Amino acid sequence: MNTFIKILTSLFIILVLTNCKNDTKETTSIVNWKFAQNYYLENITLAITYLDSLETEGMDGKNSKKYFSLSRKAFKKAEPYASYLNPEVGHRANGPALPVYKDDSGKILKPIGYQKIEESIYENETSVTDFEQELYVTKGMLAVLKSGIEKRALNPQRFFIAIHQQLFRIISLAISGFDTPVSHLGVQESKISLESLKIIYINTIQSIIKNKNESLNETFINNISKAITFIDSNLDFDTFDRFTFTKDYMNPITRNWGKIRKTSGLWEVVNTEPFNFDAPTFFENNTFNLNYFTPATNRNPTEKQIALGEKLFFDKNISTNGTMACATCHIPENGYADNMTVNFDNKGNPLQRNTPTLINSAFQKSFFWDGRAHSLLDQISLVFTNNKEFNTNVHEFSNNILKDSTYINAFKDVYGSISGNNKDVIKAIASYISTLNGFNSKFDKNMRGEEDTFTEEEKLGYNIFMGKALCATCHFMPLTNGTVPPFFMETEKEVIGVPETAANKTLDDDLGFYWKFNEALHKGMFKTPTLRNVAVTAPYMHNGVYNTLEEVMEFYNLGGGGGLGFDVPHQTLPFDNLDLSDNEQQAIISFMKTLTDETIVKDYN
Amino acid sequence: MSKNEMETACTAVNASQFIRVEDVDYQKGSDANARNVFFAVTGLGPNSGDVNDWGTVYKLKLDATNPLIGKLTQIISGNTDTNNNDGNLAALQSPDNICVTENFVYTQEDPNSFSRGHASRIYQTDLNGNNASVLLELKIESNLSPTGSTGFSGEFGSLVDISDKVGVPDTFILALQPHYWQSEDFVSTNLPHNQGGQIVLLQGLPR
Repeated sequence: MNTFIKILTSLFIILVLTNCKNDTKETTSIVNWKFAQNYYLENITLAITYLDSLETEGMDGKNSKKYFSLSRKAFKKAEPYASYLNPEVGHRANGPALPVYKDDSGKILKPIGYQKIEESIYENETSVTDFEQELYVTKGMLAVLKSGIEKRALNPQRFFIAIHQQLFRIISLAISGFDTPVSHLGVQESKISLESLKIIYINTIQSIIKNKNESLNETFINNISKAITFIDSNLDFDTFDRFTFTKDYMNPITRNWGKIRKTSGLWEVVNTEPFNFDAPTFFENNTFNLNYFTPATNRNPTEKQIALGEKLFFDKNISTNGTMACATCHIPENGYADNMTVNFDNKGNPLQRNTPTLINSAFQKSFFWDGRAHSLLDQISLVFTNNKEFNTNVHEFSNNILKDSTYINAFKDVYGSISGNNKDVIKAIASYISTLNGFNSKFDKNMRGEEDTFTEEEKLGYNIFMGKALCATCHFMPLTNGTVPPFFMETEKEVIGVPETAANKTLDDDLGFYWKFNEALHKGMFKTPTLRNVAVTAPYMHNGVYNTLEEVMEFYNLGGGGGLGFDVPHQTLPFDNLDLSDNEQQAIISFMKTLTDETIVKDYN
Repeated sequence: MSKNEMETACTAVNASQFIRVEDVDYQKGSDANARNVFFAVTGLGPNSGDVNDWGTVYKLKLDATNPLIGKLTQIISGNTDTNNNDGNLAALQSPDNICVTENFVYTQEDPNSFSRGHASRIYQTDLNGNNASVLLELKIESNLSPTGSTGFSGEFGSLVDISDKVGVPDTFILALQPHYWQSEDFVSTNLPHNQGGQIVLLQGLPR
């Protein structure tokens, strides 16, 4: 669940009611949305029915796995709309089998949902009482999803956003094993998602597309069939060729789908979702909508605001004793990191943690290694107030900055005046950092088909990264950070048991996010960092313990801290160890090295 | 609209965002008083970089003729040592429930997630958040905890004025939730709820 729940004032209830009226108007268009809504409804009902059958069958009955798989299949058919309407419950029903900490009550909810049930019936280590409880709660969640589908009429906006999310799920979650880490049904389920997309399409908007562009209709149907045939040709989770599937089979579908949306003329895209709906694939420069990831108070910055931010970013006068700028640690030539284990504070002593890259950092929902800040603005604020860093108060504007008189006009140009606090300084810097994005790596260019330079080893690396090494179940494609698709409402933190030194002898004593709630579950918990530009941003981990990607791979291959024999009872890695061969580890490293793009193109839309 | 659609729509029109609105109440006594709406916001806890660490209470004075117009005032804030530095109650931690009567605002804390080193309190202030005093502080009974460890994981729940219902002036009921008071005896459904609690009667509390 999103721990950062922003609840909005009742002042706007009236506005909401007005919008509800619009909903009903939209449903009176010529498209038979009722078909699709019924399809989703029938399948969520079926998913519940099969869970009932599973309950009767028990945890280890001879048909348990069959009913589980049937229930999942039905769920996958209902998922686009069910989870669109209720992302939190949808994600919980089909999210990681990990306990959830409720920060409002301090309660720890036991793991529930399909992934926990999967563990129970495949591994048989769960008590009957717990298993029944898992079924009870999961059925309850499905009932909530069902009532959402019943209540809310499907309309073009809901339809196109929901389908976009489901296409994203296929390339990022289903084929990576995120959905089904134990049973590995995810590859087959991608087929179900595509088949149901076809059914929904044929029964809703196909007639419109046929009228306007018959060949687009044919190509789309054809591309879905080809993708399904490709999946059928190899259902094996370990060897499924995800690179080819995504590049040659899914990308054509997403390209078609964008055209279909435009051709239909049913919906004008919105600027409020994580996606740029006009991006033809999920591997473009503009796949993501920066506006969505930007705090509402700092959207649509002017070029002048960004330029001011850039100047401030490099200015040491921003810190109280004039020794530190943002660029002291985030050095452009070093991928906006610093290639140091840890950098130095304003008195020359080592800082607590390794400097992360700023490239693509805007696409996160929590910041710092321990994830304690919920926005880039809050993150920068805490650098100002940290007495080891800028050591100033956010509400106090530092006149030292104004020693450079060009700032006076710059501030007046951007904000109308020089404000008495640092909030405008922080906004400008945040706007600048939000431009430091790059999706022109070798990987991206190959995925887009702009070049064909991926070696067999790099392809293998991608396939293992996305497959049996389970890397992409935390480093989600294509951002490779921990911001969870397809809703991008939270950035995950994990406990992996990083050692104190590269000798792998003792557990690091940095407890990470634990400080916030003093909750054992959070001991050693850190945010999942991006792997983009990882080849140029060594050393690695929160404490910069590893200098090479080989060391990092070995750490995971051995099973993280738990595998090294440390006491890490709440480790969140979805495996005990990986058993990857040297060649396979090397292939993953080769793939990670294709994720480099430090040539920042300024593009702020 | 779904919850997320509402949030998206509100964000799109730059609606004011609060960290977590926990409770709402209105001034009693007359229809005119009832247009004064109060709500409590918990805050995000220390060291998160946001503008509201320790929590705030707001008063929304609605226009007599047009409910779309009103004036929003922050009347209580615990942010005395934070970015905003606009607090007036340095001890305040996570206001969670509020009870508004004709003359007072009663604010109940929930120090469950993060604390300022004291157990849950109820503060009494006037309707503008001034003259704050501590009305009650939850007594920690570590003997009720199966582990003996409690932290500050107890809170006051709702405080409700029942004077008119029972015909006795200045009578309230108050929920006590010492979250550490756990026992299998409290489990009554197949949900894993095993915490005990009490509802107590308060008499003589000014309205």
